Amino acid sequence: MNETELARSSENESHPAEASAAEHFAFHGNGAEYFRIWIVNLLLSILTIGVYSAWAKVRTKRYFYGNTELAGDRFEYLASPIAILKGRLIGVALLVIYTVAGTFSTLLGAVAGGVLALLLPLIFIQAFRFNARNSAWRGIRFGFDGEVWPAYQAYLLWPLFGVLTLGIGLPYALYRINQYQIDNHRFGESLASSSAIGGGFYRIALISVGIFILMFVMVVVAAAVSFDAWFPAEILAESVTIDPENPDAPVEVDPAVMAPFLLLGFLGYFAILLTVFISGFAWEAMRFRMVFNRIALAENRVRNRISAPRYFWILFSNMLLITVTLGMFTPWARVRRSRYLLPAMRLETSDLDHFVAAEADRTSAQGDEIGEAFDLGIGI
Amino acid sequence: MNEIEGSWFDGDRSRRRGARLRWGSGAMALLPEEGGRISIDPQRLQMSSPLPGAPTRLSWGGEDSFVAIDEAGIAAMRRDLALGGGWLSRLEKRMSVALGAGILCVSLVAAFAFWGVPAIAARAAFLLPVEVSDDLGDLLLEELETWLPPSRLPETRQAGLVRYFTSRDETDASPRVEFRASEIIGANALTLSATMVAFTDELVMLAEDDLELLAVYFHELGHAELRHVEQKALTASAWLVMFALFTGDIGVVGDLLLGSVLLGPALGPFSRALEREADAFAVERLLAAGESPEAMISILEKLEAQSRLVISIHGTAADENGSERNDPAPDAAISGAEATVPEDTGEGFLLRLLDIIASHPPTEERIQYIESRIADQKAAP
Repeated sequence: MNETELARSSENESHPAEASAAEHFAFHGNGAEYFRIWIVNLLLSILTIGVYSAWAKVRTKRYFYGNTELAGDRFEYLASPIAILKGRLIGVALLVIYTVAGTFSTLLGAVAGGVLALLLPLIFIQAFRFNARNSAWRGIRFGFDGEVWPAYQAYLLWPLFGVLTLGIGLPYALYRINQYQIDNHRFGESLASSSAIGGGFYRIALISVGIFILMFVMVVVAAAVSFDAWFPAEILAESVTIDPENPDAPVEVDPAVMAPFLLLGFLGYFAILLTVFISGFAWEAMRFRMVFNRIALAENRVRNRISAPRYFWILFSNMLLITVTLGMFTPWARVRRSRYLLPAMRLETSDLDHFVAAEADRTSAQGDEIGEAFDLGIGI
Repeated sequence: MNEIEGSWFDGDRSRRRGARLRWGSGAMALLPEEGGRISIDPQRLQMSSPLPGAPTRLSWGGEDSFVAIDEAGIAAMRRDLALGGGWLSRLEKRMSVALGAGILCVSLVAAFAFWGVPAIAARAAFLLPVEVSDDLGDLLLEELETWLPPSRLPETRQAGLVRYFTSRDETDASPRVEFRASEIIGANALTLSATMVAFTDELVMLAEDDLELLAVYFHELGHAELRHVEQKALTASAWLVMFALFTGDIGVVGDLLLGSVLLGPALGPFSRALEREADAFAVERLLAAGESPEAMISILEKLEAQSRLVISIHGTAADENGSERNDPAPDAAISGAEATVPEDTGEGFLLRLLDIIASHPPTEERIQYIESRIADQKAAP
């Protein structure tokens, strides 16, 4: 908290003119409070074999939205749990069909997978629509108006292009996805837009891949060094028995040598996994910072002063703590993330009182309900 | 004093207007700060369910909404208007409930994982098409390729044994029998799936006669017909899915980390219960074939003496006297070297401990069990 205030005051000094026109987000949730909601959600979901999870989802989102404040007012999440339950049932049905098809025949599985892939953009549209329509601030709902063909381009064609170019086109595909998601959102009648550029995605992709390669090399070097230290060649030679008359026979190795060897392999495996995750979190931290510095809502601009290393550390340490506590830290981890991100974000605006509700939202507040099936959290 | 303060939004523009919501006997009204009075029909009132820490939203049919953070005020209103509910938020407010719920969650999940999942897997294994078992067997055989190089037994000997096994076997679809040379694994037999079992050359040579091999075959056939490998595989994948469900937020690292911890035992040796089932099956089949089940005991004793078993389907026992044993610890055993008991008592203790937690029953216990089964079978009319 102190940190936030400190950062705010330093910002006031550096941008005195802008500060008067900037509204900061705030987050009021706390870990212990959310833990109690989370654990009750978990218990009831287990007792109802997952049916309650739709209600759990609504309560969770209501808690996080309701504790997020902008210009003195909290966000609202208005979805009906029944709609989410229907969506989840459809989602589960699709997954079961896919899995069962794959069990019986590879071809059938491939066909089911292909159909599912073709449905995916439609599912995304529904999910964004559902989530946006049920999100509100000051009584005005958000909306999502993405169309079908651009969704296919963003979610199927561009990623395909990324794969066909051996990954070189992938950051561009991610850029197109980002643009599709943000440009099609609106708040009331005010359209959102993203001024992100493809180059930005290439920059953070290069840094993430660089981190991955650097760490990978470090792991390999460390493995080689410790292998040499633990298994000098002469010990290896002594411990391995090769039958000279039958060179194809399996090689026997002294178990005393073998055990630390296996341990080393195990450590190497985790080191590589960790490398994947560190580079993944680095990507996410940089991406979030970049994307949420380039969003505009009509003439209002979303800006942040998130530190990518700091956010990276929060993601990384959250993962470690969740793993160590077998999941029990999850509620604190979520609150911790919001507590860092939201106060670091602001809306540069001159007038927050005149956003107008969209006519369409008033007439069809209910409607497409399938969307939530795959639980796509979009950060708006 | 039946009123709460909050914000009023008209649903048309994003303008907040301060307002108070007042309620009395059967009537309700919104009193905006700017003046005026909007009466509300309590029948049409819609209210978001109480949630600790989150604001409450009220609406009354139109686009208008009233949002209040005052939890005590909202609670008073719910009481006055006799609006039910709220029990959930009362649960969510108590730390004692949270602790109880936590303990209950863990117990329920653990109970399901350790009893529910294997019980379901035991039934589900029989629903799998036979192709799955074929694929599974091929896959495992491929995985074990390094440890199980091709057999050096003469073709005629291999074919003769298979003919002998199938002639004594009442089942219509006998599993495929593979022979493999394995100095690493030593004398052993494995069930790879419902449709594939494997013998090592060393086991074939260790056996005094083919009857002993038939006893082993029937034991493996028990694992195969009862689909034990499929059960283990299903259990393991169900555990993995459960783990992924409960820790959705951990990400792949956590999944893999605990996944490997969970998968280990599932793909490892059969549990004592499954081993007993296979032993009982073998005794029954031997008797049905008019053979003496004692052959099982004699081959088990030979295996015990040999004690170089590794991917131990047929476990070995700790010597009760602790004087001498050749049973390598599971990890070291992978290498198949002839490990002997370290004289260091500390390590001896460790080996003993490993033996206690080992899932496969010690040979002595198995022999006793087989003897009791033989007695039961003979006593039965």
